[in-house]
Amino acid sequence: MEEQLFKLSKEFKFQVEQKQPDSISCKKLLTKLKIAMAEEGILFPGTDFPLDVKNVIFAREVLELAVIMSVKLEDMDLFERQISQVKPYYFDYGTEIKKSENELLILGMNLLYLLSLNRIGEFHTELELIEFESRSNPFIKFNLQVEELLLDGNYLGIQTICEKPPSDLYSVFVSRLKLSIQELILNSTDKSYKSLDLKTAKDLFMMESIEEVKEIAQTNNWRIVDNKLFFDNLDEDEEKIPTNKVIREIIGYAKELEKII
Amino acid sequence: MEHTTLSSKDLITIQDLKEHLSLLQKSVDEDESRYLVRVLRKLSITRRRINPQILAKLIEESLKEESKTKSLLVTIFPSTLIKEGKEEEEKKEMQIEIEKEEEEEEEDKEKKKQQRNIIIQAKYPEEKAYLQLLSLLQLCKLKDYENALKLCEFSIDFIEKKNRRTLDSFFSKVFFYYSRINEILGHSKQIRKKLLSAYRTSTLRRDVSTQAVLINCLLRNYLQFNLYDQGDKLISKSQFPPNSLNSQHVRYLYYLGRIKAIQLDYTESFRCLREAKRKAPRAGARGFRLSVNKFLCIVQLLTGEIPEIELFMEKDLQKYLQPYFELTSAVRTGNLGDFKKVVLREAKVFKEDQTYSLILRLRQNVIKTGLKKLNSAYSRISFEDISKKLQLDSSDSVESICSKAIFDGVIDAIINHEEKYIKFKEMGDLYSTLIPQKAFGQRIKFCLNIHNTAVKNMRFPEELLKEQEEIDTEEGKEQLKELEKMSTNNEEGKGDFDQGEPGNL
Repeated sequence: MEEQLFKLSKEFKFQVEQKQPDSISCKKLLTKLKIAMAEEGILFPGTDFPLDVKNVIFAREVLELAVIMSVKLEDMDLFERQISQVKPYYFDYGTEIKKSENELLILGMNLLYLLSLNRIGEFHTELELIEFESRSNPFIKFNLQVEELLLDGNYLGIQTICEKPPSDLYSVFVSRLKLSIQELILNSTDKSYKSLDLKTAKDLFMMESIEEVKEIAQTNNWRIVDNKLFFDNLDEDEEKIPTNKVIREIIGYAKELEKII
Repeated sequence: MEHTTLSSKDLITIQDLKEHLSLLQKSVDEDESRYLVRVLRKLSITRRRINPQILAKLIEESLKEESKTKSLLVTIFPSTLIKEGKEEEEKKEMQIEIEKEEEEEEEDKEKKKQQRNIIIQAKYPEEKAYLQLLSLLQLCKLKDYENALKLCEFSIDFIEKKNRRTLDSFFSKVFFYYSRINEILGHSKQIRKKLLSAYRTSTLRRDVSTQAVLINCLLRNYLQFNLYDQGDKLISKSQFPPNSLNSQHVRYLYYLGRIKAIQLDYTESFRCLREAKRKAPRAGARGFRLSVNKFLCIVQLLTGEIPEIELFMEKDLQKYLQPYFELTSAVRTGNLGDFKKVVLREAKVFKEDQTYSLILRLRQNVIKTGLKKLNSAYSRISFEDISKKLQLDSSDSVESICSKAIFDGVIDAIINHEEKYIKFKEMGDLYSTLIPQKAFGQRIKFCLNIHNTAVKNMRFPEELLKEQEEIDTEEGKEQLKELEKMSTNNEEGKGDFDQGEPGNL
């Protein structure tokens, strides 16, 4: 049984480490591996002590490769699932097994993934699990810087920093991040500018050409008058009095007064 | 443990403890939980008075030879602790006491005469549990954690097998110490499973006090390892019993507040922490109050408000809150440079308090406050000036920062890109909008809430009045006397808050 496991894992590793792994064969291999591991009883981390360290390390390696595979294939659901499978191996065994070299890489990718989806709450909860000393590691530091710039609204800064991610695998997430930033920029410029030159708009929105800007303007109902964008965000008309709400509230107050008296 | 004689104070303590045991017996015989509650309420005072010699004597006299409790406790507090020839000195002490008696009131005299020859035999498991608990407290005082752990585990097994509702309060106390001792010994990870299964059992048995204590122990365990995710899941799946002791309720609010703060739910966190502070004792529990104040300060800053200065001015906490005071002033002035300096200088303190990660998030707030100040001070300001005043690194980023701030509603302005300035909108007439009504409505709701809760809690004296009308019989008079005794005892033993060093919850 063990030999088959080793053979499968070697093949899997070879497939994943290629530049453009073949999606179908990789996924097939992964399922075969997982079934084999489950039959051996090493797929899910057990709680019996003493640990069989070799098995644990083997399982962890396979799952790490699965994460990397999902990133290369840009399959985000699979990525989330694999991350949740690999996490117990990092945190729950403490000092009994050696730290994996890829641990911070994988955790860093998870953080960046959460950032690109704007799930800041989960980002922070995950960050808490990582020790303080690891925060200076380039994989994690990158994410912290991105988070800071994101919250500030310093989108130019994010652009500069994203030109040099600490790992090639990060580029998948970086492009997603850029998309979500674009949306944020569009929303905020809508409220904060009266008018913008088309050329500066292109730079600001991080777009490739002026045509794209014109398209976006169409979808958001912005006017274009001789090469200038006009956002019609002047003050809305007067607030209407929400009569129903007011009436309900005042009747409520009268009831309470009656109760007291 | 040295061999010493029992002093007269010790003898009085022994008599008191024997009285406690008899009260426990009475409680079980008459099925009245009042006496049990009274004994436990005095626990915080009792634990200060006991020492190994007292316990040794008590164990020797009160427990039967065959009980397993005795065999375990005797190994820890052997009767050889008490020196020979004590009987002579005992008699002397008794004589001195007799002389004092004749100056005291009738009731006490009768009591002492009865007590002189009493040897209480522990016949109910409640009394055995009480003795186990006292020994546990003594071992913790002596920092003998190995033995304490053994005793804890024995006690848990003992009480669990009995499955009596009267033992619930003992069970909860033992679990509290079990969790704490394991934390001190560093075994917190291994006991999680046991705590969870005990929680399940206690829920099935409707054991309210143990449920509350176990939830708090689990939350504390999770927070120790930064497992906020798991803590959150526990809170969402379980229901904290509403009729638990106040001290447990306060602890629960504190842990809840901390978890919510990490998850960015600052308003909810602030509410929980504020309630925890309000319900905590005014004096005593210094470590707890200090920690609550620290978190309150940070969470309030994160919501965008500045905490009031009274928060930092409590006498006994003032010097520990000094770093937080400096932090607040840096945030208040919107000065990013100062903020960075304070964080760097006090990083060690913040890390120990586990507030460091929350404080790093404050950077955003500093910038926001700075922008708000500019909003009120300027009608028009260039990007370069903004970057100088806020001490941001470059003026290019200022434009996008301002744009985001406008989107978030921090400031109200229009950016002029060509001429590189930002123009603030004038504040319109506030009273013509609906904002005052909303604020007014909120305050009305709050006051009505307080009024309603006050009315609900006011029913008690009405009942007392009715009781006074009915009491004509002697039994009734006796009950009244007991009630009065209980209310004076209430003032002595203020619940079960620890008087420990800071950092001891």
